[in-house]
Amino acid sequence: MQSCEFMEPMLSAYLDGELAKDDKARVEAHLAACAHCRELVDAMQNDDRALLSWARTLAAPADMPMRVLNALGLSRQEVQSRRLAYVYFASLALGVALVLAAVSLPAASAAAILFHFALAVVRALFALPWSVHAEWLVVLGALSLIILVLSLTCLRRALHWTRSEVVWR
Amino acid sequence: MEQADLELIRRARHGDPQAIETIVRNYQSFVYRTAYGILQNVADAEDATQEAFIRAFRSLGRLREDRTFPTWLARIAVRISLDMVQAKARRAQDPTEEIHGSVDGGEDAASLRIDLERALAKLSPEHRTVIVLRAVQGLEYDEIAQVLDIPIGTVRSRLHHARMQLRTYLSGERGDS
Repeated sequence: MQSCEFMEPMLSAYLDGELAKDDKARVEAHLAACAHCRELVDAMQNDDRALLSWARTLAAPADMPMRVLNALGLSRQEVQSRRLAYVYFASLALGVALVLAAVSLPAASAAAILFHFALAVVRALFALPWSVHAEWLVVLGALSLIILVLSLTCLRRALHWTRSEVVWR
Repeated sequence: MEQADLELIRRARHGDPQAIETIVRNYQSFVYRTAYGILQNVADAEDATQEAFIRAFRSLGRLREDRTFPTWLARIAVRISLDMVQAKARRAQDPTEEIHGSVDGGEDAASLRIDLERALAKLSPEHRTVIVLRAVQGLEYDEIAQVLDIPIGTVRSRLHHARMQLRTYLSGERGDS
């Protein structure tokens, strides 16, 4: 029978089924004859079982996915605010591009015509108070107020909708 | 790994938050238990788990073979945990100080847990790591070799020494023969 000192280093690999066929046969022959090594293998097996049942009591915090998503900047709120920022900057860029195009392109004359038209409309609006009766001014003021309230209500609803929407992708 | 897991990894690579959330849920116990086994401290293990996932998802583009994701993730978790152990050692803090509780020699679950944690804490970080990867996570020797970037022969001898030491410490804690 081979000595325990020689066999002991193989017991761990034997336990894990990681020994070659001939080494496994040698260990088994030794274990059949050596109570000390049999006890050692049993004890190591028990330790492994104890470690496994101990580890099963360990649980990561339930909010770990959220922590990771937040750290990666991928939480719902962040995705949403980033998308709103994209829309804002895209609109801004489009507006600037349109203004530049209107000024620099040959079609600028059309822009000039539109500008003069808008100017005429503004002048007419300023001239309005002197050309109509005071009653009509009251009506116009009331209409403006109604349009303003309606616009603000719509804007508030639109903002509320974008906040409550769940954006994932 | 199943096809659904591979699909999740592919989606996570493109930054899909739902896929990332599912992967974290699926692997958080695996990573946390590895980290806790090495660090022996709840707060550190939570930090290491979070950091492991963050690093994994940030460098997911460099993962060549999606099927190796679990081993690759374990490697990241082990590296982070061992780095934290080293950092703690530099601050001269003994990990055994983190383990509280008394042992009356009873065989209930709580005292067994304390025995195990005390015995594990006495092992070197390298021995703790290898025993956790094998006994807790059930990794094969070749997978452990990949995770730790060491030859398979070293895995075998390190695991043998780790188990023998753990046996000695547990015998001391429990008063076994």
